[in-house]
Amino acid sequence: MKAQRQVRENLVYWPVSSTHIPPIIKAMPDSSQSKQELANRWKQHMLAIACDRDKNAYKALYIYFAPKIKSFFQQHASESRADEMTHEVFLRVWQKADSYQAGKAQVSTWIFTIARNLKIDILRRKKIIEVDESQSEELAAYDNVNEKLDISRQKIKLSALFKQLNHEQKNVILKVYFEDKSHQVTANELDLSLGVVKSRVRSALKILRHHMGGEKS
Amino acid sequence: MNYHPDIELLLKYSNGSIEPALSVAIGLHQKQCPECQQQIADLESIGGQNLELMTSSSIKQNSFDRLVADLDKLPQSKELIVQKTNTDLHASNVVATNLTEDDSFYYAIAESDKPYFDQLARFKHDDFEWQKVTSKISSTEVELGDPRFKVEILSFSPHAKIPKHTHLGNEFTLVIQGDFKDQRGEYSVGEFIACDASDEHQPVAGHSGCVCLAITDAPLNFTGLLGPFINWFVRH
Repeated sequence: MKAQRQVRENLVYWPVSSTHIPPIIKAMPDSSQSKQELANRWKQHMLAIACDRDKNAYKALYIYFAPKIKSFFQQHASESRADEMTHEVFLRVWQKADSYQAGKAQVSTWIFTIARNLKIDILRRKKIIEVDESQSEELAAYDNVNEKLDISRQKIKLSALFKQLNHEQKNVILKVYFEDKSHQVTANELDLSLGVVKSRVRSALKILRHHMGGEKS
Repeated sequence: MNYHPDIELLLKYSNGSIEPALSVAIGLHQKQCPECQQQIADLESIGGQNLELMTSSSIKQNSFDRLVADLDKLPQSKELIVQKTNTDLHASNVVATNLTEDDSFYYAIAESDKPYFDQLARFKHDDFEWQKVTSKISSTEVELGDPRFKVEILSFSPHAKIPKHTHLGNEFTLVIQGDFKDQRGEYSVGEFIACDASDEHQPVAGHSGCVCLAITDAPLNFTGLLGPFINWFVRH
């Protein structure tokens, strides 16, 4: 507890006066070490929010993440709806701060799951399951997913596995599965045909499946 | 644990676009499967990294002040903890999942899915209204708020044989209690088994019987509800 306290006493807040992205982030070189530093800083901010109910740390977190979360929601929601949802995410961040476990996940991961769960809640509440062409097709395309996977599966880290994908495949997977874009929107954004997007999704899933130890028999 | 959800299902589970019924089945599976827990954690971390890379939308000037004003209206976190305990998730009769104290799981799932998990995690035979299918098999339908799938709990007496069948569409099975086997393998508690129309099998329950959550495409149930979906079937 004492160690944590010291960390928080030395906490350097990220610039909180403007809604612009703090310059420090732009200046950050793209190395894994600085990413780690960045991640650790957010952990300290979360700790300050959880233990001290520190509103400056909260504001710093807001300024950094809110514009991104809004952008995440805007895939499916109007701007005002995305604003509301972002607002709700941050209420939950404040409310659930003490459930954040710094040893288990990055702050960005934790916030992602909060945003995702809010999305689920809203979809369920509306009882709307959007069934568009591509989704029905995906549903029908649940292959024989019954795969007996060998022991090596345990040792494979998916994030490492993602490195097996080429840049194009990774791009498509991130847009379709993490930014919630339809195949058509993905195609438009990447300036590709719908067919190419679909085949890239298929080939990427095939690679991931293969490396996880279970190819369709 | 040998039978896991496919990578595509894990991707959709991790980003929240999975159908509600499958979300519950995969949730119950991963609760007991350290490998899938790890993979879902990895996918969520990719989601987090990707979130950080998103282009920033502009946020209105006063939005943070509005947020701070709303913070005071929130129930205190202590009240939340009391609420959570009252849901009695960790009751001693938990069969479905061999639950250990698992707060992080409970925090990690969406609020709207919690009642479904509670219902299934506290599975008790008597809580449900059972219908006899045969003398050795009974079933009960479960409402998981998902019009796309039919969700049932099936209960088999020891060594009960399920007549040979194929599937009209996809069938996802999660073993809740006991075990069963078919030509392809043996399945025990927590395992997630997927079958599609090409699979023909004849499952047999283990010596202590078997209880499963069975999730099937039920095109007939869709009449009038999900036109586009049915149309797709008709067109292909």
